[in-house]
Amino acid sequence: MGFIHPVQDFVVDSTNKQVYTVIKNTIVVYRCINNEYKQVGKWVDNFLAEQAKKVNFKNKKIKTNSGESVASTTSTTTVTKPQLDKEVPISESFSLNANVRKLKIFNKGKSLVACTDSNKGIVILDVNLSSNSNENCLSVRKRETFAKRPNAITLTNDENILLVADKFGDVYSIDVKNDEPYNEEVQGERRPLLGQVSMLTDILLKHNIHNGKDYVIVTDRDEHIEIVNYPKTYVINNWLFGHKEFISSIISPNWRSEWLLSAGGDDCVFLWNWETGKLISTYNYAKDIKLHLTDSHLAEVRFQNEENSIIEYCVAKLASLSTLSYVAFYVEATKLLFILNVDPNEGILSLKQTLELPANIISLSSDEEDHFVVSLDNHECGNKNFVKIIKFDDSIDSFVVDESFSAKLDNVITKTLYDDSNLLVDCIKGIHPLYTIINLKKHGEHYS
Amino acid sequence: MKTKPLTVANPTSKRYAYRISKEENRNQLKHVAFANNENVNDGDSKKNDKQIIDLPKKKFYRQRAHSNPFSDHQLEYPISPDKMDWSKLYPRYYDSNLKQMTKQVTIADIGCGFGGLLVDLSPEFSDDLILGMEIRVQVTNYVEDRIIALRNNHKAENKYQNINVLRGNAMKFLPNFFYKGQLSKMFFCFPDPHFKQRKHKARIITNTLLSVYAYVLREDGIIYTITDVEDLHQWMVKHLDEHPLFERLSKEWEANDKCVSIMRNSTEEGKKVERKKGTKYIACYKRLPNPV
Repeated sequence: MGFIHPVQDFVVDSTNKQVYTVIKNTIVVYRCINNEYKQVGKWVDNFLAEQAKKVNFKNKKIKTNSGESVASTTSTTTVTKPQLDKEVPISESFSLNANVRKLKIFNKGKSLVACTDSNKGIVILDVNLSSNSNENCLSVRKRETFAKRPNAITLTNDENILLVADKFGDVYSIDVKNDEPYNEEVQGERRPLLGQVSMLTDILLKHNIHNGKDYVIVTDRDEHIEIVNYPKTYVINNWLFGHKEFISSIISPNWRSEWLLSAGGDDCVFLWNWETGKLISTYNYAKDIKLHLTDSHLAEVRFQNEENSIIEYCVAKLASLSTLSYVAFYVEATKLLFILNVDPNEGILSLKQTLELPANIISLSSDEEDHFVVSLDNHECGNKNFVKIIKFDDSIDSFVVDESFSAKLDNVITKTLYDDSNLLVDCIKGIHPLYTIINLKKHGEHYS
Repeated sequence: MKTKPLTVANPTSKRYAYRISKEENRNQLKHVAFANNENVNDGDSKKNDKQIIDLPKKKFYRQRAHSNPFSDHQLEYPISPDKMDWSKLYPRYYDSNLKQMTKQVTIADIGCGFGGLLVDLSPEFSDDLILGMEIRVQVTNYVEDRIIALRNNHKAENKYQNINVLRGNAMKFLPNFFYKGQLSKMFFCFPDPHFKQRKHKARIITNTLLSVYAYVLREDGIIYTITDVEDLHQWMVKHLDEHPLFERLSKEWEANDKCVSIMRNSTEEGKKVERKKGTKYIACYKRLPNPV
């Protein structure tokens, strides 16, 4: 007997009453009809399976997230191994890393975009919001492949251009409206819009309401937040300095578009005015998280000391609500959701509350109706607690888990996915790596 | 092969002994202003009595010629330009009453190698602070020792106070050291050619890195490039030509610019090319104003 793999990414489109769950290489869509959720769409990234079928499988390994060193290994193995008739364990080991990630809804809910690790690319899907319940509402508009794995994506304000930041430090743009994928053989090598010699970890496109100009903001493994003019991306406007560790996530709230929050390997969440370049405030979560750290936060053996006492942790993701001035974040491999109050005038960050969820949080986002949305590593929960919605309850002035929503989703996920062998796992080993952000931490491994 | 830290090197080797002695010297004298009249160091070290410090010998500083700019090196860099302590590199230009530097670095030699250009630029730009950046540890140590020796041996004339070297990865951390528009000249002399196609991103001149150089250069600031590898020259010219914030300077300009002639003749790479009668390719570009 197996269990359904934890939901690695979870996005809610409350306007259209649809939710998107991402498990491994699969996106499943549920729609709320008459207060019940029904599966209305599914897309499976079969790129690797198709590749495996093509006889000439190259026995190359993809490493996860282990830093920039990967850059030098990816293109080296072009040797075709002779023993191809072996069964295809490759697709299995391969697919452990072949996740769909960073799902984003756009075009008023009629389009989706996500990173697909299988082909180091992105996929743009059309969503048919008025589909019948027996037809698949998802269809592929186009897929694009890149030289290096895309790590973060964002759209321009008119949603015509997709910006893709890769693990090699470059940012590329894609014309969303054009259904033809970029063809390097015809159009020549892709030209980056901007780039760093460091793995990029997040990207935002922001409009400065005070001067009317657009800017791209990118963060990297080397503590940088870089602000670049858009579309004239060759003009670097500014850098925000203060982080001492890698940055994993940035957000800019709707309610103060000149503000930017950033977090990652540091003990603090930073709040900036990105237009002026000034640091406004920080919030230190170190003491609040201490009791929630476990053995899983011990540093890897090669970075460990003799007492085995080095712990490493980081903020995995930030999210803000659309109208209420709260932001949430979680520390990787913990159950605790932090909700901070952001003073809308002074920008002071203070703890509103922490919510302890039934299992480790593995994804965080928010919807248009002021809910925080999380998915959980529920492999010990017995096909329960896949996802949670967290809403603000005025009557008690605090955030609570919307249990009825969560129960409905648990039900429908269990019901619809239990017969999908691809999404079932029978032991913990079958679970894809869920806690990989800490691998961004630098250890100064190279002396010379 | 990676160069190992001193502690694990063979302790019986001559090179090891030399490096240890130089390291002691360096630790002691690195941040000293070599003031002429005052007592430099209250310590009882014999080294202070010695009038002349020998210039370092290159053979003891050998290290493989390449470094991977992408890897996670043990590097020290300030978290921001505000936090950079320049007083240790240019103690003569630190006003201890005002607790601030009297000058900022305005000239940078990226990948300065053994420091020949720094040493030759020093007297020509005595009003500027000049910084060399080098990613290879031993090479950086050599340049430090060279500058320590030069400063000490010329303390009467107060020379070589305006140059110094930093171990750093300029491709990653330049904006940690320099403010927007701080530099007036940047030198790229005989950079690593990274011949392999897939390593081209490791080259020091790329479209995307040029935007960073444009950020730290002031308007009308100049990028100097020189190489003996024609392919690399064409690559640099192509990328600089394509970049909207740079404009090539003419051959006449090059002929009249003193930095060009220093650059052509002073670096160890330049001298090597000279000996081998190789060709040196030069291209210089001016930083244009940002578009409105």
